[in-house]
Amino acid sequence: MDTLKITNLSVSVDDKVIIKDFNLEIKSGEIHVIMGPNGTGKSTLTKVIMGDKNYQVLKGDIKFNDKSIKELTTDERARLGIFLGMQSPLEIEGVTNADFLRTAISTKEQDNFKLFEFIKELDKTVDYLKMNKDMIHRGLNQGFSGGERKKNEILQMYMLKPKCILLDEIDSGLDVDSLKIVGNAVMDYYKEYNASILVITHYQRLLNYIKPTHVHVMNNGTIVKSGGAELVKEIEQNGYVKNNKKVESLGTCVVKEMVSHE
Amino acid sequence: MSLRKWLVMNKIVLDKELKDYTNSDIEVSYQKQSDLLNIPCLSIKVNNKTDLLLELNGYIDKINIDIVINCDCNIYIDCTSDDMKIKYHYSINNSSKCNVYKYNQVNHINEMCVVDLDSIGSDIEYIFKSICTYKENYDYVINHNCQNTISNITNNGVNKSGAMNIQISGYIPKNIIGCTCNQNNRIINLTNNKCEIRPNLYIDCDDVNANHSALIGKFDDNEMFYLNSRGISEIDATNLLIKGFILNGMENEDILKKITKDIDKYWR
Repeated sequence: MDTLKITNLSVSVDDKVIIKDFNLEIKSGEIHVIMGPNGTGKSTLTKVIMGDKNYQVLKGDIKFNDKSIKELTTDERARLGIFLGMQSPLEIEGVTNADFLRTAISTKEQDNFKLFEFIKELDKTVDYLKMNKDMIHRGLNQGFSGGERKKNEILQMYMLKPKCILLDEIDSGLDVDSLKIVGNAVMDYYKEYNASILVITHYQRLLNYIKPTHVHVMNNGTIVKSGGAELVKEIEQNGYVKNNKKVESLGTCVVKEMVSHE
Repeated sequence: MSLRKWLVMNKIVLDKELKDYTNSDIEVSYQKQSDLLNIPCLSIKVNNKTDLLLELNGYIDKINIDIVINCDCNIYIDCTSDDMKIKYHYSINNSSKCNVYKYNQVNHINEMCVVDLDSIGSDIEYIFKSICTYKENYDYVINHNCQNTISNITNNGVNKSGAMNIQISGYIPKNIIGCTCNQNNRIINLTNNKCEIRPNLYIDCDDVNANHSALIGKFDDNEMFYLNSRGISEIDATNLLIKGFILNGMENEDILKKITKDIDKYWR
């Protein structure tokens, strides 16, 4: 059982506090979805979990399997089995997808890395995600469409086999067919590896494929409401404004309760 | 950039005294010392479509190399030396297209490179890569002497522990219309030492297409974060980014292997 636990986390960037007293616990076999208006700190949260140096942790802790990862570097966190599927995957000139993946997997597997197995699995996953085979030999995300980039993130996820997956707006830039492929691929992975998954999204459409066990609404850097899948429908009908008004005081209570449990 | 591989690879190695020779593709003549400046001079004439590999292995510390190009060709230059002063002069005639791929692995170099685009439509695509460990100074002069000539010059250097300076000047005189003159220079400076790029365009003509770019800096933090987020350590990520930067655009297998070996030596 793998557990990612975030306790009383406050984070700033350029002296502006983005995340305030944030609490969340994700266990293996759970899919948590965080929704919320733009600029509430959802993407920041995923980057902070991954150890982005641009953000300063003011207080609180992030633990993976009861060990604090706050002082670990990004690559050390990744090697523990945490994966971030990014909202805007970068284009890196000259570094081919194949070289990038081979380096990442040989770093993870050290002496157990087998090139033939790697190529076989890569081919299989490329087919499964209905990607063009030549993308593997192109520069990393170079000339990729928005959808191709997102599929490439999922390809990396499959190849690296993480335990805890953070998906930051993985649905943006995807057409209907690609959304289905990506959504189903995430669910298949979840079922096969019993992973813990945190999904950041704005839209219900992704959740037609990825079935959450927990849904949270985030506003002003903290969770203001938590619930099950039914919360997504409520947000879809009423929007965040009405939802926030309705739950503002409740939201504070939820956070306080979680803190008092600590 | 259109690339064609010609069937015959002519190889010139400057590791010992070179004798004059001629074949159907090239004419090579070597003067131990030129009269005026007491500097040895190598002259190469390309008369047929060919690939030419020039290896400079550090046996000569001063040399002038004149390359007269009368036909389309790919020239690969692999230069290894401790301390070197070198001048290249390319004359490109007969509307020829010349692709130059050059890699330097030197400690200290002062290099001058003059390109004369001497006939209508002469075209040079020049890609230079270097890993700087001590001190490297490069001075380029690109003369567009005829109409519709093309120069695309790319200089990519990684400064590991030294200082790298690039000065590049493109000249297009009056009435030399329809030229393309591009300069793309980038130094990844992994130290706090001073590096400099001075790109100049001296253009006395309206109807031209000219661009220059100069960038000195470290790798983008976001690129590093992306690679780190896949479990790749800082040193392996640097290795990967440098390979991407230095190998990109290079063509010759032997040179690619040599660059890869050098990068693995420094960043692994």
